[in-house]
Amino acid sequence: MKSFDENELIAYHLHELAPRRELEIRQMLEADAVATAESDAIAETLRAFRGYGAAPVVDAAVVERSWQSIRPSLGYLTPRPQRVSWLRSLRWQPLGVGLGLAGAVAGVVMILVSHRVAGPVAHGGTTAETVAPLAAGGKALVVIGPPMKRVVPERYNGRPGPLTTAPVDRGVDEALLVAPGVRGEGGVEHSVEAGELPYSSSASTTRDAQMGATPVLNAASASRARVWPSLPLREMDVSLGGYGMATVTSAQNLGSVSRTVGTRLSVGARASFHQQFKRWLGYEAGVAGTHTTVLYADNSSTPSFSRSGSISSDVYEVTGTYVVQGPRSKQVSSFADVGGGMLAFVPTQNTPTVSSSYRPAAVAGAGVEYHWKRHWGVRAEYRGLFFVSPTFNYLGAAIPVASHKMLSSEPTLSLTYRFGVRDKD
Amino acid sequence: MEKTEQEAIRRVLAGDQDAYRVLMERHLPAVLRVTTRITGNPVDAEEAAQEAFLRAYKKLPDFREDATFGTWVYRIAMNCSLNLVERRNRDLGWNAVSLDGALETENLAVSRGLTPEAAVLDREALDRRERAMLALTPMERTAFVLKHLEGQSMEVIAEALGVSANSAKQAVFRAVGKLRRELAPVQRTSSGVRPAIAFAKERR
Repeated sequence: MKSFDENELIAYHLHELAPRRELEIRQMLEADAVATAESDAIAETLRAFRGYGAAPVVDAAVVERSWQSIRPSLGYLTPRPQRVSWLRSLRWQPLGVGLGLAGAVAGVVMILVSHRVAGPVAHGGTTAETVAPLAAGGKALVVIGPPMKRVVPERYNGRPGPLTTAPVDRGVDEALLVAPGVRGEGGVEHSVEAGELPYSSSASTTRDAQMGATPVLNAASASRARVWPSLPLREMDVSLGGYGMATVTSAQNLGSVSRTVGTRLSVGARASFHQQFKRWLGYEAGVAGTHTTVLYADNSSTPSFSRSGSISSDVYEVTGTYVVQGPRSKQVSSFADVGGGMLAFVPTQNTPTVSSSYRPAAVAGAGVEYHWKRHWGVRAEYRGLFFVSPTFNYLGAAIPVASHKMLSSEPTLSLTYRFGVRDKD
Repeated sequence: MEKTEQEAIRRVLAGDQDAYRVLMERHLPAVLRVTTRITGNPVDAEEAAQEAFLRAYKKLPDFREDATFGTWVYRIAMNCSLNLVERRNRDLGWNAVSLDGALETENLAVSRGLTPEAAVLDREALDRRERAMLALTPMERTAFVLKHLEGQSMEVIAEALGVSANSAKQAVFRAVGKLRRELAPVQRTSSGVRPAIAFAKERR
């Protein structure tokens, strides 16, 4: 039979023990006179306080006094309007909501893409504007992209006159691509006599060949003329993945007390929609959800000043960021983003002592994306969130809740699906 | 929840502030009882009770009707009382619990119609209990009051104190242990039991 200590004896008298343990202690007390005496002393202590602090008499005068005390304040304490109830419903299905939002966004985007009016397809590489300066000897280096899929009518030799409608001579195109000094897909380099410029690169390849333009190899010029592969107009993608939330514990010195606020490590789900207009112009909208515990503590050398506590909550995050793209190749791209958003800390305990806290947040991040297929890719990203810690409108005194500036790191790994990309992208 | 209360809550939310009096009249006795027990004096008790009703009023839209308003405001009152006791403890100039004076005698449990000798003994016992309660921290006092006098479950106490159920339990145990030691001389003389201070934590 296991021995017991004072606490267990107190728990026995307060009926806080499991039935089996209570029976064991009762049997031990019957067999041990000293233990019985101690048990009696505890029982006597509890009896002594049985009638302590008897209920006060609350008569009409007390009620009237209390009412008159609070009545004037009611005007200033208008009950707050109902909180947005959908946030409460979010609490139970953060992942489902994230998936739903991502699905809805994807659906809208697919509808938009399928209804987009077909227009001239942009170059996957260089354009007619990437004309190098005139080379020595009166020749100019022209960098030509891959043959256009659709011939644009143009003026002959750039002079006024009827529009030519001559189709591209595919055979000559192919001959050009294999000619010395000529690069294929990535861009065709060849020189033409000065005075024949400007002309549209792709459609004029036939004419160049007919006019005997001499292809030259000028690596330096080609390198200068080369630009980043241009993005498809309005590249869009959706992503869905998981992230970790690690917050740096914030400390504040209040004289004899050091107050800290932090959170436990947590993982959550995130969905986002991204659209890029140009390399330097894009945006991303994202929603995320996780469950964490916010930790508060007062640390002091004086024991009575030390206290700590925690509040568990679901954390919902809605952010919008400005996105710029960095270096990219065919399969790997990089980006950085900065923006803001809103965090909702919804306590998981439904008690009157705590309620939801909403905090604006600043967001900054960077990441890389790897596309192993035309549409599919994986994105790894680091995001930093800067916000003020939640207080949950806590009414009690046991937990030293405080508003501290917090930095939260959110490494994110997600699966992405791109829309509107071509084979050559 | 009774229809009268539901109706009162609806009216308050619709802007009728005076309807709140209905709720206050109904639940003030229970609220005042717990605030008195936790704070230990009638002045603080009334202040904590009023603060509890004000907070409940402010948060009324968050009130869920699957609970009773009485339970809800009672729990808020527990918090307000603990808050107040902690504030008083930090404010050294405030003597929250006076050990002499007629005011407390009138408001605490003192039998009426006692003989002068019995009244003196009763008064002495009351003073001892008051002193013993002063040895407790606000959290221990609150936990003890809620458990032993108010008969609340450990889960409710833990929620009121904002700690885990185990921490609440430990607070109650510590409180009983301290009270026992504070009252030890009395127990020794009255029952012949050895002083509680000599209690071995781990007996075997």
